[in-house]
Amino acid sequence: MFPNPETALAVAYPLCLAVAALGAALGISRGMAAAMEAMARQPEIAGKIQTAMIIGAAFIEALAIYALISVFLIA
Amino acid sequence: MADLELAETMETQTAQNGAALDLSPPEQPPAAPELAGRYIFHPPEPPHLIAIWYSREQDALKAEYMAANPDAPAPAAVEHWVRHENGEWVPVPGEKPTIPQVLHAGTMRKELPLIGYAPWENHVYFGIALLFVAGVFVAATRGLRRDRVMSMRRPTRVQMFVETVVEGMYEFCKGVLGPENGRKYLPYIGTLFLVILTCNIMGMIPLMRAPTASIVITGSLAICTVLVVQITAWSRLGPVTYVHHLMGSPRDLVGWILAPLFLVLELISDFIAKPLSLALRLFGNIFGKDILLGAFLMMGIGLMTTMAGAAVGDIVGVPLTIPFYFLGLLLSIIQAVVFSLLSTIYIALVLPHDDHHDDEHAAEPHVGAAEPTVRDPVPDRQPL
Repeated sequence: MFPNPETALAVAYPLCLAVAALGAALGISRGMAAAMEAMARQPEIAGKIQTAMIIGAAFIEALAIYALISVFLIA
Repeated sequence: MADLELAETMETQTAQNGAALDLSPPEQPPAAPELAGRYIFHPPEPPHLIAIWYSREQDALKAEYMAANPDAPAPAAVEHWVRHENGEWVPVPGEKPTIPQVLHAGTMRKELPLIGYAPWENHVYFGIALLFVAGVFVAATRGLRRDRVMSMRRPTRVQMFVETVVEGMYEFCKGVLGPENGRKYLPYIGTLFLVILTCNIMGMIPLMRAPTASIVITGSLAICTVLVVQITAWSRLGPVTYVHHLMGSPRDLVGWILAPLFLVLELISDFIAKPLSLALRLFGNIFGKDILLGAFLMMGIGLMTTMAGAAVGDIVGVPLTIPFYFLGLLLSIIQAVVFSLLSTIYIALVLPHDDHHDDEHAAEPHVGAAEPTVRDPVPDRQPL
C-alpha cells in the first residue's frame, strides 16, 4: 500500500529542506566557533577574520539555499 | 453589451456574498454563450488596484475579447482571474485584493487567486532601483558641481550621507584589493552593493516587488561580475599569463601534466560555477525572504481572525509580522554585502599577486602584530 505521490512529495520536500538546513547549520557552527575563537585571541585582525568568516558562511549557506530553490521550483 | 450587463449582475451577486477569500469557482458557472461570463471588466472608476496586476494572459484575453466584440468599449481593467485545474481561466468578480497580496505583491500573487506576475515587472522595478540610486547620487553631488569649496565647507545632508557610504565602501575595497586597485574597482563594487541593497529592500515596500527575487536579474548581475573579472584578468595578466593562470599556473612537470585537467576545471569554475552560485544565492535568499514575510503575514491574520474575530483580525494580525521585517532587512543587507564581497574576492583572485602584496604592505604596516609576519617569499602565481 503506497501513499499517493503528492503525499510522498509533501513529506519529502520539508525533509529535504530539513536535511539541508541541518548540514548547513553544522558547517556554519563549526566555522563560526573557530572564527569567534580566533577573533577573541587576536582582536587586532578581527576585521580580516570576519570577512573570511562571512565568505565561508555564504558558501555554506548557498548549499541550503539550493535545496530551498529546488523545493520552490518543483513544488 | 450583453456581456457587460451579465458582468454587472455577477458582480453584484458576489459582492453580496462578502469579501471573504474564496478560492472556489464562482457560484454561477460561465453562461452558455462561450464568451459571456469569461470576460468581466471593471468600470474605469474608481481607480482600482487590480490595474497594476495586468499580466500577459490578461492582455491576451483582453485582445481576444476585443476581437470578438468589436463594438464594445475598450475595457478599463480586468478583474481577477483564477486558473482552474483544467487549465481554464475563470473570472472571480468583485473580489478585492487581500492584505498579503497588497503588502507582498511580488510573491503572494502566485498563491492567491491573482494569477502570476508579468515578466516585464522585474525589469521595470530594477530600472526604478537604478534610477533611485542614481538620483540620490546626483542630489548628493549637486553642491559639489555648483561650488566645490562651499560644498566641502558646508556639505548638505545627502552629501554627508553619501560620503559616509562611499568612504566605508572604499575602506572595504582597499582592504581586499589594495589602495590602487580598490580605487579602481570601487565604482563597480559600490554600485553593485547599493543597487542590490535597494532591490532587496524594495520587496518589503507595499505594492512593489524585489527585482532580485527573479533569477533573470540576479543572473544578469552575476554575468556582469564574470565579465569584469575576465576582462580584468585578460588586461592585467596579459594573454599568456591568463592562459597560464587558467591551467592552474603549472611550474613543474607534474603541473604541466595536470594542466589540461586544471584548464577544464578552471573554465567550468570561472564561467559556470561562480556566476551560477552568485545568482542562485541571491535569488534564493530574497525570494525566500519575501515568501517568508508573506507567509507570516497570512499566518498572523489567520490566527488573529480565529482568535479575535474577522472584524479586527486584520488590524491586530498585520503588526505581528513587523519582527520579520527586521529579519528581512538584516538579510537584505547581508546578501548585498555577500554578493559584492564575493565579486571583490573574484576580482582579487585574478589580479597579479605581487603588486597587491606590495600595496598592502605599504598601506597597513600590521600594527599590533608582535613579530612581523613572514610572507611566502615566492608568490604562488607570478606574472611571466
